[in-house]
Amino acid sequence: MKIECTIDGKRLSFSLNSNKPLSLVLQENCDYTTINAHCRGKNCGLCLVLLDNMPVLSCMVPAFEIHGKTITTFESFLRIKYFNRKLNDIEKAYEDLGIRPCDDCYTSRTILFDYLTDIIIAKNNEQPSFDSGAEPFNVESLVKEMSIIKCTCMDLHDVRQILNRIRIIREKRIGRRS
Amino acid sequence: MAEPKKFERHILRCGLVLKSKEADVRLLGFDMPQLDNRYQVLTGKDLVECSDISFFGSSMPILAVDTISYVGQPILALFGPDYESVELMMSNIKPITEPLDTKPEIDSPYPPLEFSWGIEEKPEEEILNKLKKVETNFSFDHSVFFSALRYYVTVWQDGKNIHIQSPMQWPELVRSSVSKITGVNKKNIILHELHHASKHDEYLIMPAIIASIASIIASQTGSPVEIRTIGESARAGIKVKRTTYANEEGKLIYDNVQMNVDQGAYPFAFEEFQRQAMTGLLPYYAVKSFKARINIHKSNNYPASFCGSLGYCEALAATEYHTSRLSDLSSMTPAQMRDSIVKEKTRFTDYVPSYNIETHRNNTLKIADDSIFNRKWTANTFQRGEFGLVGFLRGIGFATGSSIAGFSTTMASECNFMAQITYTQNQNITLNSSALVGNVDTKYWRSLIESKFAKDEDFESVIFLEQAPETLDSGPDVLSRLTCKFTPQLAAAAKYLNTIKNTEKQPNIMRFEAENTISPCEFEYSGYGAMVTEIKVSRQDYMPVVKRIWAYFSLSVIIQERDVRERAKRAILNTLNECGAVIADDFELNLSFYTHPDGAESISSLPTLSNALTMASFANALYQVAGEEASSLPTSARKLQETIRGGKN
Amino acid sequence: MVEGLNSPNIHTPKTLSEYGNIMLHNTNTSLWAGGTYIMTRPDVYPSRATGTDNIIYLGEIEELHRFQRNDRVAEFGAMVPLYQMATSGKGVLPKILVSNIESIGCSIITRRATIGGALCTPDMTTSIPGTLIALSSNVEMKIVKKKRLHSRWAPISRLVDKNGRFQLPPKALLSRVRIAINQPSYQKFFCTKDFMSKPEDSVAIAFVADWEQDILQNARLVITLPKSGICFSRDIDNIFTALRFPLEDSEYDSIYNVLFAFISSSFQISPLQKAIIRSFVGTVVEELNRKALTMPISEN
Repeated sequence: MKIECTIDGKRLSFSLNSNKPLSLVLQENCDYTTINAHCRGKNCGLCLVLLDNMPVLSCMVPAFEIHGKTITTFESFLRIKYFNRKLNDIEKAYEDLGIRPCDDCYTSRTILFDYLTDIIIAKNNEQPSFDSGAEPFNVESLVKEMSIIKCTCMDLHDVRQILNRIRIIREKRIGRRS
Repeated sequence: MAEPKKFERHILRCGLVLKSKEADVRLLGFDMPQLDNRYQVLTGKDLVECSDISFFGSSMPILAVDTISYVGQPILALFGPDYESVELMMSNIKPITEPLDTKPEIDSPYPPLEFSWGIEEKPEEEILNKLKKVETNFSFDHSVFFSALRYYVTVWQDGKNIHIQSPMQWPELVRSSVSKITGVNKKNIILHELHHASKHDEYLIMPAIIASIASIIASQTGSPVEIRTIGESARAGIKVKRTTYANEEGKLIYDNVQMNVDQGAYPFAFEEFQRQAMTGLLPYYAVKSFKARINIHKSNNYPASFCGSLGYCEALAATEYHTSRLSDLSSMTPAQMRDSIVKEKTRFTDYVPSYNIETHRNNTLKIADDSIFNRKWTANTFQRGEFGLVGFLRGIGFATGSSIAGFSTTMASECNFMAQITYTQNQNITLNSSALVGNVDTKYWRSLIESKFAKDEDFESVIFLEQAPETLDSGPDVLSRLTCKFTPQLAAAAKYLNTIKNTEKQPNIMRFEAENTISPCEFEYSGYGAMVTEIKVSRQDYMPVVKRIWAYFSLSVIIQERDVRERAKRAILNTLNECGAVIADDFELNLSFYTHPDGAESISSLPTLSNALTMASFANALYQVAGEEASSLPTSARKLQETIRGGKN
Repeated sequence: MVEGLNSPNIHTPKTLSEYGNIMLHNTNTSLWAGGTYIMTRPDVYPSRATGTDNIIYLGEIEELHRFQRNDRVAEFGAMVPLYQMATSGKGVLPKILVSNIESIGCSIITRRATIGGALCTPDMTTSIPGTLIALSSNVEMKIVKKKRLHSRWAPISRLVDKNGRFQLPPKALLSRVRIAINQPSYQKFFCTKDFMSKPEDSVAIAFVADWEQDILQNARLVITLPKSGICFSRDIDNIFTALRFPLEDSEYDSIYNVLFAFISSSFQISPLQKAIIRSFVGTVVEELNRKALTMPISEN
């Protein structure tokens, strides 16, 4: 099956088996080294990518579903300026707090942190009366969102701290720019 | 580190290893389809000259030849143009097996290790009957860990040289294994180490096996070969039975320990396991007579790797579990009991010098106060019979202990792992060691060396030499060896070099042992800790939910507190996961660190200590919830339900 | 593309009639909703060409994405993601359904998992059908018969076979789910963590009833054991119906005994699953006892 899609800003065309999982396409057809997991849908959460800007587990997405879509992997955060700035915010938050994900889950967690921070900021902007110092996500929803990554290197307390820190750094940066 | 080498897919041979789904069977052959010339197959019978890898005096087959000893044993490797074709073809290959005529010897072929002090003969039953008795059984089942992450081992030839690219915890093992199987001189084997972080020593043995297989096909076909696999490792299973007798005043008289270890199908370094485990079994409470025996068993389980402990963690956890039970003799809480026994001096043994009682006592008191342990322990004990009424049970567990790191003095003297530091004519410092890539400590080592030369104008920079055939073997990256043993040796060598560089002609070369072998005992205690774990088991789902942990560590050297904190935290969370615990949504971890006032230079293995204390305090909390049967690890909701309800509903 | 490997033809019908045509002209087809179940099968890729030859991707059929409601019922197309159901229907849908969806996990999963897919899992049962049975929901099926696409509504409870499995007739497509939006006055849902990953010890329980004065009416208890199937019966419901609270311990014990005599006669159940169900029933009784005892005197 001929599949055309945009991966990390590049328009690509592949001849692929229609049911090949996206995680294997990225590893074997794109030679990406930032995704190493292929748990065959056991929900390890280590193959997270953005499909049309929504996080998905790439081992659950068959090749035919990516036709005409945009995929953003961690490579974007390394190569593309827009994402690179976002990565800097996250890295700074890790550095400030002295907490960082382990090597196994680093890429997936970073993508998810970035995605959740964007939601938090968007929510803050929707509700101007919202106290910007408070955490907009309640504990329960955070647990649920982060529970997709099964790695045990950090607990919820760390997750909350990191998200809050990234939000502050990002809001400052965006505020400065505007 | 250089970028990993990538080959075009069309020239690369892609390989997968078939692993056995059964154990204790005879391998008669394979039922496989006709393979065309795009495929190559390798079985144990093709490895005529040499079919095993060996280290620390033990060996295991690269691919099973006649007998399959454990589930997961590599039995065949298949190579083809791409992974999909190979995977599909592999699904059609079935091993032909038959049960073994005689079951393999399960009994220990290894001599047990015994250690004792005090009364030699076994006391008569009559005397024992008059004494109070505390008996505990602590067990941690043999467990296998599979990583969700894949890794690739690539082998290619370049003239006479063989290049191997892989994550590896012990480069020399990969080099010597490949050299043995291909007959290529070690000097012609060039290693390209990939960055890795190993949770369970998954890159210790398997990369050597995979690289050996790949190198045979690479030399046969002349094409670059890549094998895809996942990280696998196993923790040894242990069972510790410990009996302590005390007189009527509560004074401890006899302490007997029997530890049985299941190291899997191919026990590696079993003597070292015994030494480390024995060190963990030594009590810090005063007892007149102590007798311990450690038996190593072979089984049809996955061969156990070091998992950051090689027996010390589990043995210390068993000792701590037993120590908490001893509090029943004196009607004290486990914290009070620990506080009371520290007033006596501990014994100097061949395994470890005496314990720093003052530090231990401080830790006990601090952590007991912080966690309000005594009050909670008493309240939970009262609540135990109220499960039906309140619908949940709470447990709180206490553990204290000290860490050891690296190999024992005996092992270190046998291994002779080396490193070399040189002050060159260009005023650079070069370090020649196999322990440099993929290791987080290199940043610290650089700053450590620089600090010794910082004020000198005649010093340019520190250069870590890349992996090359001339690289010295500094041994495996296990048991926190590189932090705890290598770092002080490196500091001493750098200091010495700084003193001689002005008086002697350059280059000044200093070769030193990667182990610290000057200790009079097998190990030295380095760093103390105490931990309290609070759990809750609800009748809604019977999950052992960890609510809070208080951990307190006093270490002689804290290199980078953030890094140390991170390591301790990961070790605790990882161990909880391995023990079957569920982390509560509102889980709190109170970690505090303290530097030893005595300022001793020894560096501690924090993961080892964190593992042991987590295991012990969690088992103690489980004991408070549901008694001894529930505290065998790893636990599960099913196990807890059975013990709490006694199988009744 | 790799030769010899299964690369199924992908059909992407835009309407249900297109779907009917594809079904008429192709054999060996499999339906693809969110893929959260199919992609977790161990042999999904790579597989040999003798497997499924045709995949019908339902994601582009507009009718299957519709969501409509009136005063009494809400109707969801089979391709409506669970996430969308929980967010857009949060105010109107029965609370137990919302909490069931929330118990499944994070939005990354529930955005892909569809209501139709959650009902039609072949060899394992998710927690969703049990809750929908408790809520007396109906489904619409599209069946290809005599070269035409026929439509049929049926209560979900009728589609559960004697082994406790939700089973559609052959060549049928689940197109819509109709859920009554009245909120029963007492609703409770419980599901163990790791429902799908540890099926042997998992259990999901849905209980609904109308609380009138201190009496339960129209009670429905549905227990889902992922491996064994969905367990419900009019006999069980009758035990709870017309019960007057507070209950004595002996009454509670007899309810429990009858319940387990029924479950054990038709399903394989582990001691842990039993204990969890017992605890659930115990909690329900405790809550209703408390409710009965704390009612204002005028109500009593």
